[in-house]
Amino acid sequence: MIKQLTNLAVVISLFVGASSAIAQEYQTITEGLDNPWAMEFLPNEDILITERTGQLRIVRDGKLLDAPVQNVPDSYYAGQGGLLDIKLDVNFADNQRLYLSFAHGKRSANSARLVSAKLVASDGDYLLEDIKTLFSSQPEKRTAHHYGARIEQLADSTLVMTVGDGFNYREQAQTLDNHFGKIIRINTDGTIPEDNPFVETKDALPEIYSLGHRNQQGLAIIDNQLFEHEHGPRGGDEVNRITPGLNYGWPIATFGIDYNGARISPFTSYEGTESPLIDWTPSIAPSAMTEKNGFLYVTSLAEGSIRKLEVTPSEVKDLGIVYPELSMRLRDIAVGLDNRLYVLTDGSSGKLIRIVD
Amino acid sequence: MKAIPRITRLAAAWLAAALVSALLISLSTSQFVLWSLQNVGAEITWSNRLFMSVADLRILETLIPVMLACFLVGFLVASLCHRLLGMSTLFWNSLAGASSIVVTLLLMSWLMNLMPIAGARTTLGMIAVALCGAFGGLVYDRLRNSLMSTRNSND
Repeated sequence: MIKQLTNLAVVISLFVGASSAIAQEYQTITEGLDNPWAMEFLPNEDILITERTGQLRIVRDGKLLDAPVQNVPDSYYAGQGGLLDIKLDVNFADNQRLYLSFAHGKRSANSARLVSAKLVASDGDYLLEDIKTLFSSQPEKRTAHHYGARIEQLADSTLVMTVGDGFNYREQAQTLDNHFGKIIRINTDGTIPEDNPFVETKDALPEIYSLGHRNQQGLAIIDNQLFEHEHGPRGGDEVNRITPGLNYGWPIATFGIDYNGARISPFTSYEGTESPLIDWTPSIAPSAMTEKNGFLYVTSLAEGSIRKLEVTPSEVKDLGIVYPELSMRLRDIAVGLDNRLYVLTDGSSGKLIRIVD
Repeated sequence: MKAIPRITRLAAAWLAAALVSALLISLSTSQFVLWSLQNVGAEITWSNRLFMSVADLRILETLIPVMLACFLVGFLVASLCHRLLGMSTLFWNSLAGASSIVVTLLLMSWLMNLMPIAGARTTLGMIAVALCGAFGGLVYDRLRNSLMSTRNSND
């Protein structure tokens, strides 16, 4: 009897110890976010979080403010659409400009749009002014899926944004007369950089930077190299190193199959297209990516994980799942001003969590 | 020999129609997906075509239950139309076979905001699916009539 009680005490103490260790490792900053999608850290330590439902929320001193940022452009909230990514300009401290991506339009005709705006502080609140539309994907589509819409700013200050294949339009990822399944690159005023790879190509849209993508929701830069990840269908999630002008294969070459079990293509590789540096089959559903201390960190929805990737000159190695206790659908990941990782959980009761390792 | 009950004969015809239609839709959608890839520059050999047609048969596990559900409603409505409006059962059953799968796909497409069968995204692809459904209706009608006449002769 005494031995059993002792064992019970040991088990309880281990459980309590493990629970407190988890509590120390992950700190929930705030909850009650409605389908959060992306976050950015302002120099004054406020955190801006997009909600797919159309609000741009403010977290200040660990509290989610009731009042969202005012004057945010209307977005088309349906399916996977809504207010999506946010990115501060590299010179935000001087110009207070930021970039937002969102689904724009209506059920029968919608697109991925990129705008720039000036963030203005007013009596503790924020509003957007001087909103300029920089890009709208063409042609408009009739589905509410696969927007891509992840934004990154390259070393030369130009903006790149992913545009998904719109689901029903996957073959158009292979042609240059549309924006489906592309990464586009523009200047911060919306004009086209003269050195874009297809500006001289007849009938090609000049914003196109790379092609052959599906639904790319992760972009990050290491050593001036742009890395991207994209959702496959059933299997075939990919990590790619993006080189301007190259074709990344979708849907001609893929390791994924359709949701109903049908093949997308007979090919897993195809001449003239780039094979992925990493293929995740079965799918983990990669949702976002950030760089920290030379490594890439990828959040996932289906696997509910954070994976750490090591980048070498010739390859990208998947080092596996880190922080395994944080197992839930994760929508975004970013590095805060304190150089710690922050993640957003997915869904209508979303949380902002800081990893305190 | 004891006669097979009428309901069993109808069920056999219904099942056979669903199997035939699902198989044809699988083969048809494979060709339309490959055709779409060819249109954007992929070289598709006969070997590729054969490989993908066989590989795609795995969608039958999803497609057969869908076809059974579509045809169950469709053939009941066809029977009703035949009694109320006349005309041949072949006409009504073929029409039911085509329209039930097309309506189902359009409904799913509207609800999900995407087309669940890739080979049916184009108008031609959808027409092909409709023809596969119509052929299922024809199979049902022929089998049904054949089985019913067998029953009558046995009776």
